[in-house]
Amino acid sequence: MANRSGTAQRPNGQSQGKICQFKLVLLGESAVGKSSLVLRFVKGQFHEYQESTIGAAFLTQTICLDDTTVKFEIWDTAGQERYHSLAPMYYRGAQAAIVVYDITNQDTFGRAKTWVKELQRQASPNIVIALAGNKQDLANKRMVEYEEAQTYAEENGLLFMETSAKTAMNVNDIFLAIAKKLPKNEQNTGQGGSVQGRRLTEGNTEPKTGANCCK
Amino acid sequence: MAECSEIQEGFLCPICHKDMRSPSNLLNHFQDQHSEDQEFLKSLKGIYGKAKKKILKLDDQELQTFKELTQEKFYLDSSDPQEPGPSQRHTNYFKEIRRERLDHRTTETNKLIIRLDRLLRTYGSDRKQQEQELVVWLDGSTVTRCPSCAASFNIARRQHHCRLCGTIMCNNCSHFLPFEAAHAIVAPLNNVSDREYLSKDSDTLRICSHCLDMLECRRKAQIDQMVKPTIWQLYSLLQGNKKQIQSSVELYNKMFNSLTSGETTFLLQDVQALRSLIAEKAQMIDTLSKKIATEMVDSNTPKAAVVQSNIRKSTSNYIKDSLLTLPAPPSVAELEKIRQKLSLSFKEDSGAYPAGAQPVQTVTVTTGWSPAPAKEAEASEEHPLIEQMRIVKNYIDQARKAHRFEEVVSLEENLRMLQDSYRQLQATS
Ligand SMILES: Nc1nc2c(ncn2[C@@H]2O[C@H](COP(=O)(O)OP(=O)(O)OP(=O)(O)O)[C@@H](O)[C@H]2O)c(=O)[nH]1
Ligand SMILES: [Mg+2]
Ligand SMILES: [Zn+2]
Ligand SMILES: [Zn+2]
Ligand SMILES: [Zn+2]
Repeated sequence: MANRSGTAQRPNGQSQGKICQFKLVLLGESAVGKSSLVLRFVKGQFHEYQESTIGAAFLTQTICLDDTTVKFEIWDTAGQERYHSLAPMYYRGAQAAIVVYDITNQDTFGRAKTWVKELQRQASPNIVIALAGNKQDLANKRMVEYEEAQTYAEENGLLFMETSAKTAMNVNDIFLAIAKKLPKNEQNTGQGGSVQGRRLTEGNTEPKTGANCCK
Repeated sequence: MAECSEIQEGFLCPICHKDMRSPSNLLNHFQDQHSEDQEFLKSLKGIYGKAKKKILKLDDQELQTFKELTQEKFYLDSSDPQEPGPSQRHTNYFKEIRRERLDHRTTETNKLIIRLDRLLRTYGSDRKQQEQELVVWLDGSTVTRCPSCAASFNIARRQHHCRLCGTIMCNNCSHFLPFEAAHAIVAPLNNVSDREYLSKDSDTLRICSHCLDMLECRRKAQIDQMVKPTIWQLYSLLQGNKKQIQSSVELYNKMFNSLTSGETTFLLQDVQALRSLIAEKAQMIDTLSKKIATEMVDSNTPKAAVVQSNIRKSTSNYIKDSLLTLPAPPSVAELEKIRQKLSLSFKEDSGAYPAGAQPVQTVTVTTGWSPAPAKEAEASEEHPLIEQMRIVKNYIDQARKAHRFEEVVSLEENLRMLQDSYRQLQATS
């Protein structure tokens, strides 16, 4: 990945209107609701019959946190085994990852743990990882206890929320929590193409090394 | 008080209430004018005995100024506007007393009803004797005048007994309760044809005004209980409808928000139908409240008119503020637009983040974009990398068309990575 960092200073303003852009990847077993979560976040929609993803889908969404604009470039990967080889290409360049499991399916939680391990070994060391226990609306068919997942998340330093793409519960919140955590991990390691939140140039460009975003 | 002529202060004579202005004057006056009340004088001397020495040392002049001073001070104090003191509710006390009275009255009335019920079963030639077995008649030998009107009894004005309480009265003071009315009082809910009483309906029962009053009260209370006033009926109808409207409005808002945030959970025609239902109900409560406001007012209860017009006011305010402000459902075209270009905003739950961190005031989520998802490839045996390259190329086209140039940049970057990976893969294999 190329470094495309720069200051986002307005022609006549200093810290106003900071714009940060982050790459975010979704990982998890097929049918846990990755695409549904992103669709809810990006379009506010939910489909009972969401088609299984082919390859990796691309979506963008912008959050305004006070005067800071955080733009997410989201790669929604396919959970099917066949596409597993594509995943590294997407998490390697990502500043954030959401690992999704389905709370009604214990196996998907096991798969989520494997993804977390892989991220910890292969992705950028500064990557912000969030664990999402999706389909919270089906809590009556719950197979993964909240406490179990929470303990696991704490032990591994992950953000954790139970979500529901169907009811929209915690969907915006988990993206927001990630957005808030991201600016703190600012050091640009410049390794393995991991570019920390790059600023989009706006107005007169003042190139700068070691982009300090959203401080 | 000084300004109140009815209450005097000073060295007043207890007999004639003249103000003697000093203790010595008072004692002299008393000895001169009321020497016959020697007992009183003694006690008066006793009262002043202790203070006497001290007081009598002052001359009359000094006493006068002393008195004026104290009076003046008192006068000033009482003329200042007073702070309201502690207040106490006596409602409970009142209720307790009233309850006692009501209980007493109810038991007394019930006794009468039981007696009446039994009296109504008496019949035949010895009816008078049966009546006296049920209710003890007062012995009239010492009663010379009617207790109600004080007319003296004689051969022309004979004593009569109240069949219910046995008390004595004259014929003028007697009331005659028809058996039919008595039946209704004893068993108001009984079917008229359902007769278990053997006495004839044309018969009457001699009772005193006190007993009649008690029975009248009970009958009125029973009628009040059974027959609800029109206003009451209208109001309960109004309240019932309002409750239904409120839950409909809640549901409508939920459906509306879902619809305008691009969800497909609810159908547009359902949202429209619910809105017209709310409008219908609003019309209904409007009419009901108008009826209530124009309902005839009992002139004995002037506050009722105020309540009635307030019900009308609050209802029309409710309609104005809560129902007319309901957003109209989007049209089909608008809905299509919403679903295409979605914008939603939400408030952040500041409690979810540790204190100390600068709380984020507003969070807006906007301008989400995504290319149309890739269609299932015909040849799914295609290598996933090639498949993905095709997908990303398609995304780039879409992004460019949508003037999403930032996205174009990112996607092209990804395409290069995919191509690199594919080249590496071919090189190693
Ligand atoms: N009840 C419920 N169903 C959900 C939820 N999220 C997703 N689903 C359903 O789960 C199914 C799979 O959802 P997807 O979003 O396609 O899952 P995915 O993880 O993207 O699957 P792949 O694309 O194959 O990796 C769909 O039928 C969704 O409607 C949720 O929160 N609650
Ligand atoms: Mg998917
Ligand atoms: Zn006197
Ligand atoms: Zn009389
Ligand atoms: Zn009587």
